[in-house]
Amino acid sequence: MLTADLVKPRLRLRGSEIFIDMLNTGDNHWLQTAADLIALFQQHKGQSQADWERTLEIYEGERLDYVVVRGLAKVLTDAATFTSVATSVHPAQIRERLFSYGPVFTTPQLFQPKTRYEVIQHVAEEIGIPSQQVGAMLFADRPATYALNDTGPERTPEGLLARYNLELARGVLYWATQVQIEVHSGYKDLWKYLKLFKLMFWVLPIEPADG
Amino acid sequence: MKTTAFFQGGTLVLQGIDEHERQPAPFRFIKGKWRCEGYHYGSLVPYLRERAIRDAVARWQSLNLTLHENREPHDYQVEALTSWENAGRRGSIILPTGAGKTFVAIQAIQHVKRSTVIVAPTIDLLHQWYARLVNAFAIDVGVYYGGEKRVLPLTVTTYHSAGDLMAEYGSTFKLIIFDEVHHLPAPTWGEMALMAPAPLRMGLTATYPEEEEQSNGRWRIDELIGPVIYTKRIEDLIGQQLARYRTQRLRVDLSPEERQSYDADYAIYIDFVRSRQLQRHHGARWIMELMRLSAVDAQARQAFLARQRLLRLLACAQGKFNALDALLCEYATEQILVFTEQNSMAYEIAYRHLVPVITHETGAAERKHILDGFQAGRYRVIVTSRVLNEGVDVPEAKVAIVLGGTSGAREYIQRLGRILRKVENREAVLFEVIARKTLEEGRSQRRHRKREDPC
Repeated sequence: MLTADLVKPRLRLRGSEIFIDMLNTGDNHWLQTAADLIALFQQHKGQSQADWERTLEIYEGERLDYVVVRGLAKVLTDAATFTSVATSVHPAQIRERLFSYGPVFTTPQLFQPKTRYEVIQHVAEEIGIPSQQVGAMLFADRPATYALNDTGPERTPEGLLARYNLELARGVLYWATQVQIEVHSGYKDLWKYLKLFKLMFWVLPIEPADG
Repeated sequence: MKTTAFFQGGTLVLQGIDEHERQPAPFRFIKGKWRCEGYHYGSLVPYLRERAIRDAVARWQSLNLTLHENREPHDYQVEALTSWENAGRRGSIILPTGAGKTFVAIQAIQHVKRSTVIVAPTIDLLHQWYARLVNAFAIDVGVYYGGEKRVLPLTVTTYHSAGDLMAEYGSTFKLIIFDEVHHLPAPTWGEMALMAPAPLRMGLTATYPEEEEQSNGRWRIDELIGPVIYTKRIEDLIGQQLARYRTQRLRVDLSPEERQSYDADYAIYIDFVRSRQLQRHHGARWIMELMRLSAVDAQARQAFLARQRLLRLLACAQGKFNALDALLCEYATEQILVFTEQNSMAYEIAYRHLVPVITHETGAAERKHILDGFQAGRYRVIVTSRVLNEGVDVPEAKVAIVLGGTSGAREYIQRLGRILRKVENREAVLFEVIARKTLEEGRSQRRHRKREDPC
């Protein structure tokens, strides 16, 4: 789902009507952007979420249409899965052990004769993991370190643009405090969802057209 | 036909009065009945009486409360309570963090002796209120939030969940206490104050919003709660309830490489801002304008990116790490809180010095574990980005180190309060580490001026 900062700049208000600045799905500029992002995202499989964010920032560069770039990227990432890298010991446990020594320094101090290096060696030995891995495992439960392991459904550049447009529309509807819907068929489905989401509603028959 | 006013889902509804019998504002005729938002109840009571409309709104109870807390209120707490009583039991009280706002609220509940709901901004604070109320009155206290929903005559809730609580149980509370009331202008958080019919209201905060932040277009804080009726500033309380403290500013130099890239980015940024006279034309909102322009104007975009780069550079300047190193060694026996501007810096410090870190990513259990450990002396240092800003008690710390000078005045005062709760008569120290000859110097000076202003 697109966040407000990604939707609002794409809206135009005229009088009491709101228009969504949707992308032309045949426009070469946008098709190229979508293709670039899809390719970058595929290349990022296995790498961390923080890395992906950095890559995106570099791709954005000084582009003025960064709101669209971010929106497209958000559509891609929302459908993908980042998962935590499995560690033999839970990071919180490593932290608890290590932090009970803190603060430590690179050189021995009067109040803390053990250096940072020695503390890490010691704790790594205690819990039975190689000391070079301690650093990487320390915060392995932070979402920023999660690795991209499923890029989600395969997208064509056209498909990504179309999905982005849909998400823009959804973003606008999400802010609506009331919606008027004319139902000509399929009212049972609508009924089902009204009930499911416990929406307040008001039903009126449509006046039959003349003749 | 007998006419009745009753409470329904956050609104007041008049039963038995049809459309032709015009009712005064705020009533409006909607879906076959005269209705208005719940918060008008207090001002409508005389009208209901005069028109002999049966009042079926109030469902609050009398409470038989005995105060089990035997500490004596401070003079200013008594004054605050008296002002609130004199203002018809409505209005906001501004007291610095650590001055005992909770105790004022407890006294108010004791005076009113009617069903009361307390609204707190976070679940941590909800738990803190719960514990204080149970200790103060030795009765069962309800909580209403995502994790647990138990409504009792004394209930604590969060701004987030209060809307649901008010829709269903709004008419069962006569007094509402809004903790950290400056949150009220937030669009969804304020809704519940509109919905509640409670005629008695108290707002508590250390930092009342500036004039332009008090309203969000739909409501103003003073309209929902009453005006500010009591203010005590931090300077007036030093030594009485709060520990003496001193602020010490440490200026660090940027490294030659940092200086070079700072100067280059600063030039790009400031040239643009000056050439367009953004600050003159847009006042305090100039930064919003810069953001807006950066989506249409290439130069604005470059200026915005340059600003972002230089803020990042300042946030993790090497000199700040060195200064922190020195302070941690110098205060080897003290418990210390370290505040950083950015999450990444907080994690970096945790990684370098192996000290616990609390950010918005930290889960409830670990957070509690860290705070408990700090209280018990198991952890000597906590590093945090912006989480401990509001009213979570960490009274052990007597040294705070703020790395960076880019946060607003509000945050600064809240942070100050953190280490100031008086335990013994010991002086607290707040170190502010800022980069020399950068925009941090200007910002830090602005903050100090504000504190010295008489209000």
